[in-house]
Amino acid sequence: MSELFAFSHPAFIWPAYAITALGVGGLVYWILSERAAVKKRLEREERRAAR
Amino acid sequence: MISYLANPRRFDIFARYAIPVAGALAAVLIAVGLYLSLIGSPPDYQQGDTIRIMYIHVPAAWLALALYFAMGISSAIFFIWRHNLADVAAASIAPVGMVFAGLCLITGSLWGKPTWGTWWIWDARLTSMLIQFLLFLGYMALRGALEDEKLAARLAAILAMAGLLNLPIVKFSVDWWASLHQGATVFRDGGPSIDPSQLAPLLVMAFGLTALAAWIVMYRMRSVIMDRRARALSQAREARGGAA
Repeated sequence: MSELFAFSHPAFIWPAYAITALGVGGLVYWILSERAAVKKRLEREERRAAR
Repeated sequence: MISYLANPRRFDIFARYAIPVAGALAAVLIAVGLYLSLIGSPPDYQQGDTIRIMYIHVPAAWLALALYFAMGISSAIFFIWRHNLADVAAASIAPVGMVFAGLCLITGSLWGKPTWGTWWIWDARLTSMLIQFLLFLGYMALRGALEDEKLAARLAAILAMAGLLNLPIVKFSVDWWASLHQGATVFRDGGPSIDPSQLAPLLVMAFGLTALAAWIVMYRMRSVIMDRRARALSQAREARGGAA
């Protein structure tokens, strides 16, 4: 593990991994929150249609 | 297989099983890939540890191109056969492809500065990849800009199909023009020229991120199908209200 802190050019390597994590994590968060909103809307429309 | 899944109900059943499998596969492969990329592989004899940026930059580039190819083919199927599920697939792929194309450009820039001495150069490979990113962005902007969703889907499909022409330009730009960017080291005649200690983390990360992209695209396809169902119910209710 100690070699992780001894990389040459850490100012380029770690931002590259951090930005990738942010990009992919943001994408996953966005699709999960989009699903929650869509699910809520569909359930509301199905309840209204059943009335 | 594709024609079998072209039915939204069959796709829904398939996706219910495929989504958790892809998610689990992505979690395991990315965890192993990160270990190999950051700890299990040696530094490069010339580039030192900056080679570790390759393990995220190259899979992001491959995925951006593969996702654009899938989006273009889905758009063609929608445009020619008016198959709505193909349109759902294309619309779901676009943001995922845009993120990976963006990550490819940013990580490439972070790799370029210590390796080439510059963050950016108007080189054929870099410029064609920027165009690829803008094609994803343009596709999404076009879909969101028009109120008539059917017209927006057809115009966006035309843009996606036209953008397919950029794929061979990205791939062969390093062969066709003098480029600062290195040539192919994995998909090349005579097999990969990259060392096995670097090829293993690269492939594990590529498969892991591919599984993650498949998980995201299938998950989003189900969301888009649910959204369209909700809108159809809403329109039917409004029509009934108007008739009454």
